[in-house]
Amino acid sequence: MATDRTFKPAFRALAALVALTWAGTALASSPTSARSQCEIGAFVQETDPAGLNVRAAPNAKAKILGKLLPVHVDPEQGYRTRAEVEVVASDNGWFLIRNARDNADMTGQPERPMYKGEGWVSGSRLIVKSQANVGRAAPLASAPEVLRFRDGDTFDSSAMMDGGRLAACMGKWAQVEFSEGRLPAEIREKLQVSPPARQGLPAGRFRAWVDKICDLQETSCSGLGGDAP
Amino acid sequence: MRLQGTPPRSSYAYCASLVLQRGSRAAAAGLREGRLTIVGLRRDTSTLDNKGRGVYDDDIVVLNGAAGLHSVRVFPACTEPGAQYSQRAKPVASGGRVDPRYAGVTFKKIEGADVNGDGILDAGRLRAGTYLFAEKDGGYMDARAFQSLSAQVAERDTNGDGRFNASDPNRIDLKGAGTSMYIHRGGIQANRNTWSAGCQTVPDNRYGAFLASLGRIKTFHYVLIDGD
Repeated sequence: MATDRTFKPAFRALAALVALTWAGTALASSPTSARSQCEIGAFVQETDPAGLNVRAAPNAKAKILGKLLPVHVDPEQGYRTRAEVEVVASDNGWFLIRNARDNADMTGQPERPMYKGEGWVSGSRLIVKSQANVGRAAPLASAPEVLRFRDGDTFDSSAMMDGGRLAACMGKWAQVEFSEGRLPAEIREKLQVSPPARQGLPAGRFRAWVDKICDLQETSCSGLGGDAP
Repeated sequence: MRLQGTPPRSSYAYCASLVLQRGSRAAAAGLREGRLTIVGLRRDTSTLDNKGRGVYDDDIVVLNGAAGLHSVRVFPACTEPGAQYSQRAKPVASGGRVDPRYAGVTFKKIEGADVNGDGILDAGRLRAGTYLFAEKDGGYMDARAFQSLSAQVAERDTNGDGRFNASDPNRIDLKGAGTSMYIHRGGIQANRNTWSAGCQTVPDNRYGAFLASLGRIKTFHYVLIDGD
């Protein structure tokens, strides 16, 4: 089971200050919403055979522009291949994506066609692969730490990808919301989650900002830098 | 030395001698004590070969000296990145590539670290040496995979000629790779794509046998050796 770390009051104050500063910056960039710009790669975790709707605006009632492919599952090995997208903005749990593509090298089949233009998709169907080993309270390297593995492991395992969904993004950072119910026991047991990461969320869920996002599905990224000590 | 077709006893003796001579003290001691050890035998290959998709022309050798067993299993592997992940291979609006030498590469995505400050991300390979690996909790790419427990040293192709050698200024990168150069499954041999951006990959059609040769072991020394 994931465990909480106890943070000192001064640490909490710093976390609040950083969060407020960040929120101010985000709002300053958009007078109408919490929209923020980013530049990260993400994968489509959609199991509905009909695919994932891409919409003209960041809400579930907006016009459907096209579809993104569902997860391809290798019938023999069970390996999964997901559609890959570039994420350029977020707005209240919705993400502006473009240049979607299949990964024919992984499926072993011809590239499947899908919508490749810009549009909005729900973050509940997007996942990222972060090679960071620290999750933070805000998208800043100096922000307080809210998530870490006891053994210093990185967050890019299949289990961690499955357990998280994209909640927000800014610059080269992604905010991921994890659900303990989707994490295997051996992962939950070694996760250290601080109380601020759970604040305002249903039981069993927590959020953290992570960087070192690797957009390669078939391998890791060798140039994102070493881990924090 | 080509290990394919070599008698197991000779292969074991050869690879064990490499570990004892060129591996770390801990790796050598572990082998003497009968611990499972993996040797990577690298043949220097250009990142541009095979349209930048990498080549399975290296060997990963699993040495098991337990209880006098002295078994050896040899698997094809790729220990160098393909130029498909190089910024130099990216098509440009005017036609061609960022670097004309990469015209024959099937570009995929950009990956690497700019270690010489020229604005180009440089492809990296794991530097020869000994690394302690552990199985990655939670799997990787839906399979077992292995990650170094300490920071790895990368060599970067800073002049973009597809090779990692003394003609690359500032090629030794102590920070950029972190622990990211894993051992994981690569594309099947028939598809001719190794999926290596610096990782050590074993073709998926041989990966099950590779994992079986490891058993349930969680940590091992990996001794990577540059060959001809």
